Amino acid sequence: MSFSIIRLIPGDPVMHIVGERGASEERVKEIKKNLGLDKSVFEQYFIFTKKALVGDFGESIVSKQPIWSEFKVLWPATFELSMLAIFWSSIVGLCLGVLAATKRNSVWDYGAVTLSTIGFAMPLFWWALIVIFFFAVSLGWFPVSGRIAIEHDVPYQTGLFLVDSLLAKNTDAFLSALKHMVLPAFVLGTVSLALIVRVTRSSFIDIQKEDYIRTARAKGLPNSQILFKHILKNSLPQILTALGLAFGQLLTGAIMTETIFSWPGLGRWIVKSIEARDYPAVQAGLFYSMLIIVVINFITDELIKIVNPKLRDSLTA
Amino acid sequence: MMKNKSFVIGMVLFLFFVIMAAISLVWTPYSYQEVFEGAALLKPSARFLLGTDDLGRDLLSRLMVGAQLSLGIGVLVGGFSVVIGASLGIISAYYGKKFDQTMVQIMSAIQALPSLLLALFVVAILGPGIFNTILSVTLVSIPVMFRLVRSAGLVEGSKDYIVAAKAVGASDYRIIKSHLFPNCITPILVQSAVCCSEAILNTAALGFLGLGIPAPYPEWGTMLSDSKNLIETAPQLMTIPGLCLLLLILSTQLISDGLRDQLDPKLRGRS
Repeated sequence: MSFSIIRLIPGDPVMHIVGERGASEERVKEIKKNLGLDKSVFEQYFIFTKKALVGDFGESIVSKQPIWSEFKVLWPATFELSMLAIFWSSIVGLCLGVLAATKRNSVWDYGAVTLSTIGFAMPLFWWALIVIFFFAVSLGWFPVSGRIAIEHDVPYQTGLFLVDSLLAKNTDAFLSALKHMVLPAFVLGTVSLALIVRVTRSSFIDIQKEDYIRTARAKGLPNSQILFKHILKNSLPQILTALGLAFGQLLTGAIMTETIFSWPGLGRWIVKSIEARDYPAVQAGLFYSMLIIVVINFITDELIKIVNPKLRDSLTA
Repeated sequence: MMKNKSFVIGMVLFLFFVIMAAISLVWTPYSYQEVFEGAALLKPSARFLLGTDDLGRDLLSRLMVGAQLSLGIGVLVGGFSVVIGASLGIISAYYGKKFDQTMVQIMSAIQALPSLLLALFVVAILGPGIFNTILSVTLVSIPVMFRLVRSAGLVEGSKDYIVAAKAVGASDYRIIKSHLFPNCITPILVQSAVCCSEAILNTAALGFLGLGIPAPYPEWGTMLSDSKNLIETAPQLMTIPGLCLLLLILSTQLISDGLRDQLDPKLRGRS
């Protein structure tokens, strides 16, 4: 039973990718829909449709040189922020989820469940404002906006300020960049935290009921070994699927977080270009977002195949 | 039903906002548009129970009218998603073939982007406004409903009683109406509550980004966005609408959790 469930779960992201591998079709569909919806910019859209068609053959990016170069500078900012967010939220989320599942009906359990319920319902932008209010305005611990203090001049190498400043051996700049990142990453990670706690907890609880866990206990294996070798290993596919989903949410979250914290990344760029009615940029933003999601789904699937050999055949088939 | 804790808490919270919105239909302390000269950014007092905003408008009145908007849009979108998403899902599952394939393709095209991002694009193209907000938020809520109902419909549709009904010669309409639909009602109910909560969240998010319901309507997200620069001087402008938003979304999610636990016996006992 659980075998078939685990087999079924990763089926969805696969379908997602297959659906998107034909990105040309879907993009055209999307654009056609836009066409039908808005006649006043019909001609503009007609041009974009043609460009998008070219883009699907791999040349549009070159013809949209300015947008691509803009994108090149912006994406490391979002990447850096998202990575930090997913890093802390998956570590804390895993620990909390495991703690909640192993000590069911304890304070930890109720705490984790309450936290994830509220985390799901939390409007991210309000959460950001609250966090700013406490940590930046009242306590003054962290700066509110930007990526780095203006006096630091770090040579551009990777575009990731944390890495760049380390490469330049500039500790002050590193600390400044880190300080700027703490609040946005904290806010951005909250949503994925809720998701990861919930999935970890429920998959741990499910697996604890399995026969092979009972066998392991009967064999007299120490608790820690059961926890890490048996339960954690078997719940990894579910947790990874959740992580993939969390990445998708990060994209939405990044729009909010970056707007509020004036973080010069993709999310703010998309909002700005929408506000400015900069249609080529909006189109490109749409395309890049889809691309990112496809890549994330692909990576998640590959990772799941690595951790769960049972799924290798079903996914390649 | 009444024993389910999350359902009861959710219902109580939800009713609180319903009552708040209902009262605001007939009575608010002041008009939500009324500007009081020299009364900008007042702290909560006997005259203005929750204080005033930067233009000197009563926060409580605006909050109450805002409840109408959030609730109204949430319930409307939940309803639309049932009417459009669920019926498309059932029809798709029942007839299958070409229609089903096309629908699935369209829905996965809509789902290819995160919902807020898509809603943002739609509003950006159509321009902000109440109608366009509802349209975009509905659009992004339909695919999930469609998928859930379709898969439930596929499972039900292959069962013997449907085959029997067909053999007896019942019309397609009759089979869908009195057999398929009632048996798929659980995912529909649960998902409609989820759609409602997502709609409220997305509407507020659009409002916060300046692409939601335009002024002078006191939409909570827009109010939050306006309070952004006043965090230091008037924190209540930021905390109170946000708290309302959180509680309203929480209530709908609790309701959907409760419904699922209660209506789906397979899940009972798990949490």
